[in-house]
Amino acid sequence: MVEETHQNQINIPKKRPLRSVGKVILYAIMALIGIVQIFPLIWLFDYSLLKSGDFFGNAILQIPNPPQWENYISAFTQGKVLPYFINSALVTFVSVVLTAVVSVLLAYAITRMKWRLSALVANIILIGMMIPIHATLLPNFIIFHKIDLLNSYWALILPYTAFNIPISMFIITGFMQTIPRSIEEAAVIDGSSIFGILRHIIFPLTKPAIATISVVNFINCWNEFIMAYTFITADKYKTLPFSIIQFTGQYSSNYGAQFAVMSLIAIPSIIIYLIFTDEINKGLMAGSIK
Amino acid sequence: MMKKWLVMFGVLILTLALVACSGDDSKDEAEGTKKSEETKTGEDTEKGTAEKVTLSFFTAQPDRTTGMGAIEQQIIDAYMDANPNVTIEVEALQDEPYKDKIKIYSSVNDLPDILHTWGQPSFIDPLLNNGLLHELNPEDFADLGFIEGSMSGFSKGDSVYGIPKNTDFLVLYYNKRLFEENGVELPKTQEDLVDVSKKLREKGISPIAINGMDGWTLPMWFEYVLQREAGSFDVMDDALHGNASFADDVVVAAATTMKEMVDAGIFADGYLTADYGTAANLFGQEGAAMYLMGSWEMSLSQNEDYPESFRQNVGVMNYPISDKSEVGDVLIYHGGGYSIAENSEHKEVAVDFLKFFFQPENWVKLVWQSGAATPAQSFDKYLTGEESSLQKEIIDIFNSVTSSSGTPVLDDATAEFKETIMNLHQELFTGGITPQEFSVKLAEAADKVKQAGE
Repeated sequence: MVEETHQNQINIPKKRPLRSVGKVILYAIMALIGIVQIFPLIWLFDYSLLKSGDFFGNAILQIPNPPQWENYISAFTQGKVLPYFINSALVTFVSVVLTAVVSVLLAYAITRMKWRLSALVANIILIGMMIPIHATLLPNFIIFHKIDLLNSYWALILPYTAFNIPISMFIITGFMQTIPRSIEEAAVIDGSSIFGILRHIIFPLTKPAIATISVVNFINCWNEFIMAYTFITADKYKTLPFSIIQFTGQYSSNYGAQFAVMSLIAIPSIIIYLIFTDEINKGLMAGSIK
Repeated sequence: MMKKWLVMFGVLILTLALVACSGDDSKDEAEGTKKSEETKTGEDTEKGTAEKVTLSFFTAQPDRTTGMGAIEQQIIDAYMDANPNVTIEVEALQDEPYKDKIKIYSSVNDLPDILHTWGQPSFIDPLLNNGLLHELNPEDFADLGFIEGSMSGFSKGDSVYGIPKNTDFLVLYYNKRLFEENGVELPKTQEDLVDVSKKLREKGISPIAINGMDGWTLPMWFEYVLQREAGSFDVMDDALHGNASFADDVVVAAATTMKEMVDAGIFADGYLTADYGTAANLFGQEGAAMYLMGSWEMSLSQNEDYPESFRQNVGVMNYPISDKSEVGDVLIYHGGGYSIAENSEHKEVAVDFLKFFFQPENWVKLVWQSGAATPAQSFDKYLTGEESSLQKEIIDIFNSVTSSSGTPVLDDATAEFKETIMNLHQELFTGGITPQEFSVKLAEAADKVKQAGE
């Protein structure tokens, strides 16, 4: 006891400055990383308040003088951000949910059920990861043209979902293999059905993986343009990236307004990301016993 | 429990199947569907019982509120007012996506009724060779004042498949104030241009702003340099379609001249990584004294994005000459225009619309007076006297033409050739290849084109 207090008296003054110096450095590094991460957003917002003629100067950030709030007004009027936003939200939401549901069911069938050809089916779906989007544009266009599906929400939801399923299934399969089977065995003994197991055990436990794929899929669908301009011509179904091209001239464009649109498009992405990262962390922290 | 889930899942699958098979009912009302409904108004609603016609119009001008896109839209709206039975649905994408989607439409033989085309082999040949474009009767457009030869790019043999809408020429814009304040004379010859650039650099001003990253301006500039070297624009055409070759000495000499000029620093630093907006803004913000660009930039002096001092001082001149050429040797061509699809169900209406579109008081007047571009038709009648000084200087250059290049060499062959020639320029200027290698590789690319044509 005596020795301990004696040690404390001697050591504490020595350790404290060390600790605080370490902390300062640590926080400085973390702040630096944080700034680097956030900088593009600041830059985006800064440029959305400039005149088009002020772009591409030597300064990285420019003080908008005066701020061109008209850029945002044009984004909503000429850029039709609002109706396109609703389309984007609808298409993205349905695609993300559909992808998540199908991927979880697929992953369960592949990791937990014993059936012939299961390995083959899994591999066929995984091959989908290697197919470039451009290779599918023309065949899909022809198919949609034949079944009269061009210019509809399905013309986007189906390909978006199809493209996101392989990688999503891959991630969820990997995650599901780490879940101990004993939990499911216990549930079966208690008389639970397969869908019961899915609902009460598999789904809650794979939440972190679902959150992960949903964030990635959200960003994929939210920013997708190639398929959108191939399958959609009607204003009624256009998604947000179309807002940006409303400001593209033959040679030069209204960059200020384009940046305003991009700032608006970025907001939901940021919000979704914040919500889901929380969910991912929670999922990782929580044990598997509930 | 399980039953409930099964039922729900089953419903989901069924809904999907149903929707996929039935298609979207509300689509028929959607704008942009390519179904032209032909409903005969049998009832005595109106006197004009013309059938309802829907035309699809596909353009490479997404911005419908400024420049050429706005004029296009204005004329379309006027036509629909004049012909209540016709609806014109506009689809617009910028250049690259536009070309992608044209390929897709072509492969299902379902081109939009009216489409924007470039009267250049690299774009229009695939469409012509597959018979996708409707042959137009030049008589329909005979008295609209089209410039001699402006339709040649849209022709195959004696048949015309498209109507040009612009005259484009490559000019040198300059900033009068920067020249005067630094005591520099305007360059008359290419040697002057090098001297001027050196003087400007000493004063800390970038000489010529150019969008080297986009790649298409450099081969156009090459055409000028080669003309100044050879004294004629024919070398290019002969090398691509005739008996000459890009491996000839004159081409090597021109490539060497180009390389020397670039090494002497006539282009602003970082010109190879500058895209269109970067180059335009460098010039507009008075960072560069000159700007090598097409005549379509004549609205620079009215662009509110740039400072007042720039707008009052921007001028334009012919590209500098050599002892073998004269001022009137201009790189001038008719790029964009409109064609009608062979698969269109309403060709007469589409032709009627094009006739309306190209009436001098529509396209010619509006496009010139807004400063958006120079039409491919004579526009003397529509000079208001109110033109900006920049527009007047553009007219002077236009009237100075004594020999013209026709379609720029990069667009005068296949899409592959275009890609090659753009890359070769960038390699030449970064020192990746010598002028000799440059001309040899160019000759190889041209041989490929010739073989494909045989």
